[in-house]
Amino acid sequence: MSRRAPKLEVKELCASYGGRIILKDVSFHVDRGEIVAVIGPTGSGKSTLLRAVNRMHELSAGATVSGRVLLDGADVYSPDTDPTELRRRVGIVLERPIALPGLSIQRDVLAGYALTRTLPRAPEEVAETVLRRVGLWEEVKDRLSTPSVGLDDGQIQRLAIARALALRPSVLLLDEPSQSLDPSGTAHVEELLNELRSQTTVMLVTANLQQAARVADSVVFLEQGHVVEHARAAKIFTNPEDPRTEDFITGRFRTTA
Amino acid sequence: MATRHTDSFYENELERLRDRVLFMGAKAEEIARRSLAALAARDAELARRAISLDPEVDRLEVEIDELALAVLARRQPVASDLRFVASVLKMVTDLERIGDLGVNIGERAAELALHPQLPEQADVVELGEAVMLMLHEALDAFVHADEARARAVLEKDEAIDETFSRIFQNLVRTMIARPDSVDRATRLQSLARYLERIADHATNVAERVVFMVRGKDVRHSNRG
Amino acid sequence: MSSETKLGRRRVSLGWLPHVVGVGALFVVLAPALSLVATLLQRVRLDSAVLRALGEAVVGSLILVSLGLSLAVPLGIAAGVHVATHPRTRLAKLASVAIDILSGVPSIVVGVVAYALVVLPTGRFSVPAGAVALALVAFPEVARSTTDLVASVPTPVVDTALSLGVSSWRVTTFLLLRARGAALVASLAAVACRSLGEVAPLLFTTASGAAFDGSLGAPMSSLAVEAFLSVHTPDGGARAATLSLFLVAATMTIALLVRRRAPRSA
Repeated sequence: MSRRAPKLEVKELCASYGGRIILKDVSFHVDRGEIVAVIGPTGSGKSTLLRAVNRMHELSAGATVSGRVLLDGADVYSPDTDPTELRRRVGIVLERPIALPGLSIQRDVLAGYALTRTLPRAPEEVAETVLRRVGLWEEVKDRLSTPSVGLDDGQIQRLAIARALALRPSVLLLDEPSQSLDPSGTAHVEELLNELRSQTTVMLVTANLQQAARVADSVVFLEQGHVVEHARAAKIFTNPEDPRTEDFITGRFRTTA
Repeated sequence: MATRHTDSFYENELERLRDRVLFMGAKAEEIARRSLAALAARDAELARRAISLDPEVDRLEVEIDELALAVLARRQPVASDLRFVASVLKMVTDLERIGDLGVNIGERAAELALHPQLPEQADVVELGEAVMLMLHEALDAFVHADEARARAVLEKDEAIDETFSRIFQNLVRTMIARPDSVDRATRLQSLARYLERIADHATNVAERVVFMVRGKDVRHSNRG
Repeated sequence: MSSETKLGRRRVSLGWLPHVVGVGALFVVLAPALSLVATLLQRVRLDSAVLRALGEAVVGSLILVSLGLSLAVPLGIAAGVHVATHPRTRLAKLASVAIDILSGVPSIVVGVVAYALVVLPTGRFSVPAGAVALALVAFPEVARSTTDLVASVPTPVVDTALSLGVSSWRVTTFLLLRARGAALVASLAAVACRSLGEVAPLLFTTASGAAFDGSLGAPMSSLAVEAFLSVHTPDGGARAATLSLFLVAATMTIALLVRRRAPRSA
């Protein structure tokens, strides 16, 4: 399988947790090298969707998944696929990221290698490259051997992205990547996503509609585990088809009883 | 949309914008109406009073532009809201032109009041009434976001063009037949042209309304 | 001078308590030393026999505890990790029950069990028997601590490690060593200290014997046992105090060594 940006297809994906259905028949596709933003109210299943793509959802006790997720036509849920190996190709930045305890900044960024006792060819270079890409290099270059737990929230957020990038994944999943960032940090991350185009297929969960509008090629609107609408970004933000999408993005919320 | 914006301040801002546009439209319409009345009544004074309403229309254009920009900057509107604000920005240009054209009509009406009336003047007045109706319908369509009404306005434009053409040709014949009528005839021709242009602007407004409601751009597609 | 601490959200004044506790601990430690000094002052005769016996007890303790821990620690960590990471398997459930039962059993009963398991079949008291007995006592503690430590790692940390495409067992290893390494060492040290002080299990298995003559198939003395047995000897009190002194010294050394490493996670 090519390591370059694959085409990502989600087909009739269903997921539940503890008996409660979270995703129901979710289907959409992302062209290679494109960015899809997943938007929707809290609890609509966006994070679960992300975790189902890299087969992390099934690790939770009481979690079930069915359906298919195809990368360049190959189903990640087929019995031949090794989930651990999959997660090296499909990187993820979780919501509320953390610094790994007991590691220096340098080792934390390269944790994907350190934990598996492998090393890239030029570790310092790899670390510097990814730290520069997330706009963190200048802030940490003089203290690379200090513990990563000493960084502040915004730095940890960028570190987590760098950590995922260090493994050079062909697919990148991001869950609220700008949550802890100031406008400058956000701009860096969005610039980074733009740079990743064509090399990486990106799936981005964000509550920030403007970010979705700025960065995404296409947008999926998820509500209560269903795909309400999937369209090009420009279309969805100027003239969505579904009135539920229209209501959500313009700020017309129904109060739920 | 049945529901309102959860943020009521935002809802109010959009309401206010709609309000101001309607007000500006009504004012521009009034200038044209009064000028046409002045033409029919051959009352120069009435014409002058109509013309005096124009500065208000210009002022409203500036006010609405500022309001719309503020909404864009602060609210980053999307989807229907975005189409609404974008339409407003375009429409005020048309409305301001309508105001100016109303002034022009008033000026011609004041001039024509001093001389005996040509028979074609009645036709022009009738054209004027049809155009006023169109304009009124277009503004109504905007206020009620009524696509059907807007499309009805688009239908009428062709008829107006034909009527204007006919009147223009008649006046040419009159000018050839009676050289002393040239002065009055040319003024009537200008006046009729102003009306035809008001109709065009009213059509623009209607096209914006269709875009606003449906998200479909119908410009340049319904002109023959 | 008083000191303060945070109890939940409030600052609580502990008054003189820390100082009292510190002095008390010091006293406990110094008492044997003082009694030794008193003994020496009373009886100048510290002959070679006494010293030799002392030496044997020290060596015996070291050997028995090392062997016992080398059995209990790997098994205990493995069991603890398994119960924590795969709680639903049959093995985990069985192990969990076994650990709970074992940890509740009085150490003398453990000694009897080891007697039945090793001494009776082999026909004599020996070092392996003692090691088995100590291991049986230490194993549940090690397993329990390990389970608690593994379970105490916050989910985001586990998730992050897994998300990097690291296999489950490597993640567990990393978390145990890096994230909870200091705590693990501390709990192992505590187990070691407890083992040094065990008497009952050893009574039935290694009893008392000469360590310097060296065979593992023979009884071996240990500090705690000797202290216990010295009750019936003429200068019992002094002997017991001396042996206790060495025990305390050993445990304090372990505690101090572990403490050096602890502040890593501060």
